[in-house]
Amino acid sequence: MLLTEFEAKKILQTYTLLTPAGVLLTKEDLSTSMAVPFSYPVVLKAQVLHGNRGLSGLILFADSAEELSEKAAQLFAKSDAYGNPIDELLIEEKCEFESQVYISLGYDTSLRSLICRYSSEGGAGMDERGSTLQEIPLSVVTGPTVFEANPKFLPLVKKIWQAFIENDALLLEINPVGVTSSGYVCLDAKIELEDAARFRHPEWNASRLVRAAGEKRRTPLEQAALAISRQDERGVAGESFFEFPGGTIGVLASGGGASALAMDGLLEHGLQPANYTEYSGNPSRDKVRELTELVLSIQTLEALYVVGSNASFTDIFETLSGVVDGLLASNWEQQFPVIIRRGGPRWEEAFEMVRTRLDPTRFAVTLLGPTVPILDTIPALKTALVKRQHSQKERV
Amino acid sequence: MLFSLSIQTKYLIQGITGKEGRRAATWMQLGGAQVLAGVSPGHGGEVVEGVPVYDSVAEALQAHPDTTVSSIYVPPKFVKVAATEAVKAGISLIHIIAEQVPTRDSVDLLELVKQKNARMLGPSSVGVVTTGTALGSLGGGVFENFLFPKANSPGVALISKSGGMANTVASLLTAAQIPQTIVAGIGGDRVIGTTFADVLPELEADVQTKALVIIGEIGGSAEEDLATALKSRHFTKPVIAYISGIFAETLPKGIAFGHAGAIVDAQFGTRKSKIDALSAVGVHLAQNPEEIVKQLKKVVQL
Repeated sequence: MLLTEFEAKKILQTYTLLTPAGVLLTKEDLSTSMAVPFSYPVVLKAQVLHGNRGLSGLILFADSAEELSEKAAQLFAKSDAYGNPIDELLIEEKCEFESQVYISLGYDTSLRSLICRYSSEGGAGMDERGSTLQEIPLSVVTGPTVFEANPKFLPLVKKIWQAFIENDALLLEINPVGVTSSGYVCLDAKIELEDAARFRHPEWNASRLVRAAGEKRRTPLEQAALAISRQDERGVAGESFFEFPGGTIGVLASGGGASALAMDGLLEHGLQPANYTEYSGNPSRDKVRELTELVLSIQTLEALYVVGSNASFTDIFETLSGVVDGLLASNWEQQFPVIIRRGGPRWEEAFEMVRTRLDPTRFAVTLLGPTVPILDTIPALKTALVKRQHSQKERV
Repeated sequence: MLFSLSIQTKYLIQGITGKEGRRAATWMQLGGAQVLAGVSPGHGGEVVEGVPVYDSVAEALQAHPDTTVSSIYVPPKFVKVAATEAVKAGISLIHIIAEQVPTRDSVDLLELVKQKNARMLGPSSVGVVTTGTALGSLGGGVFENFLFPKANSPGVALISKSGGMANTVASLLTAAQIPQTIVAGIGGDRVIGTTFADVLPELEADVQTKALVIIGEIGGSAEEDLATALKSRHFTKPVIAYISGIFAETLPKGIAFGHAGAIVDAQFGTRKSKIDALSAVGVHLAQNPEEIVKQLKKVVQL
């Protein structure tokens, strides 16, 4: 869960880290006579979830109240890199600094530890100054006691460490930290919190949780899928859901590895997924039913593709019962193609159940068992699509 | 002996009275594992699938001092507490199957595991199946999918981030009559206790293992680290790799796909960077899982 700069700075403030004086401005607040409780010049920053805001024209400056209104209106008329509207601006007092440094905390997957990245040359364009970064491993249990990269920043790094740990962040980046006459000021901040730690954080309210997937906002369908997944703690069903407008293949995948394989296969064969979603970890029949209904609500579908590897502990009978429940509750008919490839506990019983419950005049079901290679499902899917097109032509 | 697991290994299962723990107890025993004890606070004195249950790991170890491995079947929020208890009580290998364990907890556990000279497999590791024993849920109690080499006969090791792919590719190898010395799902989280590179010394030393098959995916650095380790540690056996991720790389930045660690982030952890790194050190890349079998037949005599 990525936070906006404003939200990130609110967290930093609770650790007595300095940030410039600032106020949040929403579209509704926009008027011709705006006053800010600090002096001009000010900086206006669109609260979007991706980087490179300066280069995208999403950071502007104003020297007066009139100019502030004008520039704010300009920013609200823009959209972010993913086409989402700009809803909030952070207006801050422009801060003079002597120099700027880069400090971030995050996990290094290679060292498998927490590391602090530090550069004495902070500010925009860090990608080009990667060679100036020093990497300092830190413990997650005991805070830093030395900061050899630049000992005068130790008190700051201690506070950042505490904020990182207590908030279960995955990334806490302050770039730049402005070195000013009144101390070290966090001029920009990026925080990503780890969704998996939400059980420790009742303060992460639900609306914030469903707002974004990575840097992109969730669509209503993607939000609904997440809500299904989080009804209970047993398995996941819809935790990740991506919608691809105009696609024709409804996807219900299982298992990270097989999902990746199947989706790669679809793309390589020129098929258009309408969505990607996954259920795994033995979720309940109900959760799978709800997720199936959600996928089947996409109007552009031409087939449902249920694909997974040979499960070790997901009950195939229970989960496929959920898929069938969803199909029966949908409006799809006239031999709507359904391709299922699964293996794992009770798969044979599950396939028998699918055959019995799904009327062949309504659903054209292809059942592929655990010995069928995952990628062989793609030709089967293509055949089913062609058959369906033929039969629809005949009907016309 | 791989992962220090053999027919002699003695296990306990934490969370044995839960639904998944109970199933694991059944399956591990079907796979030949000696499950001596279960641990579930408040359930001491019960018996699950023939296994006596204790209130704590310390009590279980007192009654069964030869136990060295704990397979942990508790919800993600209790993983850190349960695993810490096991390591502090003297368990030398902890296996964590739960997905969605916070990275801070995994890193915290790794710090402890290092300190205590123990090992950690997972989180999000489905488990291991090897000759005569089984750890965790890999295979789901169905062991016909695996083909173990006869004594002193050759086989290949199969190590996969994804548990489902470990199971699926093992079935392909078995169908092709290629025996497996070990099949393991090591997990797809950002930070895991045992990675591809970690198992190289054991695989190099194992005389029965003639080749290594790895199933990787985008995100993290386990595949790149493997490439570095293959070179620096002079691994002499052929390696075949399959790396997924064509679709995943079409997604917006910062989105995890399938596994928590499968995230595209700038030029780091991409499919291309993994394939390039592995090719550069002579790893054979398979374009799909079926090709693994073909590649294996080219490089090893089994």
